[in-house]
Amino acid sequence: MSLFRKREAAAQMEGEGNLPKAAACFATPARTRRAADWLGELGGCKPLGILSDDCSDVVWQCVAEKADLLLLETDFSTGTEDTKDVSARCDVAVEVRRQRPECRVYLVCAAGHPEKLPALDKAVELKLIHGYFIGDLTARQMRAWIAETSEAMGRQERRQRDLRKGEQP
Amino acid sequence: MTEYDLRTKKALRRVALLEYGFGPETLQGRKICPACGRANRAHDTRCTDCGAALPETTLYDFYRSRHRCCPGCGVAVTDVAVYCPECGTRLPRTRGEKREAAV
Repeated sequence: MSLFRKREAAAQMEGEGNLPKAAACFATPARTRRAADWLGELGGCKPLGILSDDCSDVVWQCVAEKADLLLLETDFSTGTEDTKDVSARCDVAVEVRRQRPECRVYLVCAAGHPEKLPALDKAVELKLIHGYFIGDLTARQMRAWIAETSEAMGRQERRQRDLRKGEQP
Repeated sequence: MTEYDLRTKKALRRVALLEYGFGPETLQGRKICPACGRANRAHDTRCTDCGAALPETTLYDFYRSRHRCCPGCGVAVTDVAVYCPECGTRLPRTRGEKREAAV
């Protein structure tokens, strides 16, 4: 068997076909891998790590993999070459949702940056992102986001079913 | 540019202004200490650094006194603007314009 077999094949065999696909894009590839593993251990979703941080790469992968949830980590350290601040992450969120409107986007931010709070609140208020978490992401919060996503998926499925029913003579 | 593009572009700009710039919301949330110059939160009464009493006015009040601002959204507009480029509100005439009209 290939070492590179797709992860979701195993999940579908266990009857978890309707689980939301959760993509994680953290500040570094190592952190992304760790986040994807953590999501896998947490359960309730099909984890996916997006190692490239480039906006177009993230959008492309979310669309290609049909991600239902995107976790983006911000990086407020001044030494970083490419910006991963709130506005740059919102930019990615907007592009992802333009291509895939059903995808829910959440930001994970490091603690100790109270000056970023107004921007984060505004981003939620303006519906650029669906929510944010400050500090180390807890299992409880992640489960809540997964539940929100599953609920949204269910709503959409029902809407599509009703539409199909309406089209039938 | 589509309606969606325009809306999201505007929304992104507001987030960026709050994060780095000096949009009305950022300015309304800040008070400058007259003694040490530190920016404090608007609801603070004493400076967190030196403990001096903070003024009642926020940084936005000072900004308004120096710039022509839109009554709708509060952003600074140029002296010749008739409509706000941010929210589209029709702007009241400036004093200079009134004087010209009177002459």
